[in-house]
Amino acid sequence: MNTEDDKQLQQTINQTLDESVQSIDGETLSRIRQIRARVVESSENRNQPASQNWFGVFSGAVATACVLLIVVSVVTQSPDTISQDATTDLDLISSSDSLDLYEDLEFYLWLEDYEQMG
Amino acid sequence: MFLASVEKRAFRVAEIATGNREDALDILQDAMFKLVENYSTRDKEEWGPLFNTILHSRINDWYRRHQVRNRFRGWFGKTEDDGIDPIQQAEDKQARTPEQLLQADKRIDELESSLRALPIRQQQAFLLRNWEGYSVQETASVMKCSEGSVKTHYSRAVHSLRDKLGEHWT
Repeated sequence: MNTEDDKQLQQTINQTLDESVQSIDGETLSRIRQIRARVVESSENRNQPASQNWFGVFSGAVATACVLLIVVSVVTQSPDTISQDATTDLDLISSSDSLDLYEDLEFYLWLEDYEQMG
Repeated sequence: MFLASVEKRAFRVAEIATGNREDALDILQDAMFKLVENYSTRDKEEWGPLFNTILHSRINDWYRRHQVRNRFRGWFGKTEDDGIDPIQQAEDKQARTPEQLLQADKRIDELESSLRALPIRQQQAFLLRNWEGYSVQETASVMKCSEGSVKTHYSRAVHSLRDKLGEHWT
């Protein structure tokens, strides 16, 4: 046989092998698909915790950064920058007096003026 | 998807090498798991050669185990050719129904038996070079041998197939 015959033989063998792939019976094909599904499933299961871990690490890093930002901003803020209103609000909130007193303040001021006039 | 594109060919290669559907399916499963476990992060272009490297490595493992098993059987006066493996016989009956056997292509059977009769390295070299279309260098990489060995195995395989299949195949 010459080289041309060899090439023809190899082509015929390739065609026959391709045909043999097409002629795989249904049961075997089903088994092959099941194997692939198991492989893919195991791959997804293995990858999932890793991605969840990365998400957890990322979330933790963001939360830590936020806390640090707040702490640093509070620590570095000078007392002068705290406004008078804020101080007043703080006094009101921390006072043990009932808030009703402040809500009726106008009435008490009027009552004081009325008593002085009277 | 990559696995879906190679699974049938890989199964046929393993089945030709082992002559047994169940062993071929086991080899296919091992090769797929190994690829996904170890090489799924590699470039997609590398998957084909890597998968074939794993597949043929598994086939070689099977072949070595098979040879050892046959040697032990030989010491006890039995070989697999005695055909007294009832499990294997039962599997063959389940694998193909009489109808399927009737429909089976005679040409495919003839080619399979000719390929199966080749030494495993010649069979691998021929299938990788001829069917997969790999270069000598790629085939050597997959088979983990020198390019010279690939050429020798391939040449001998073509010679044997030409003799066995005869001129009516050309």
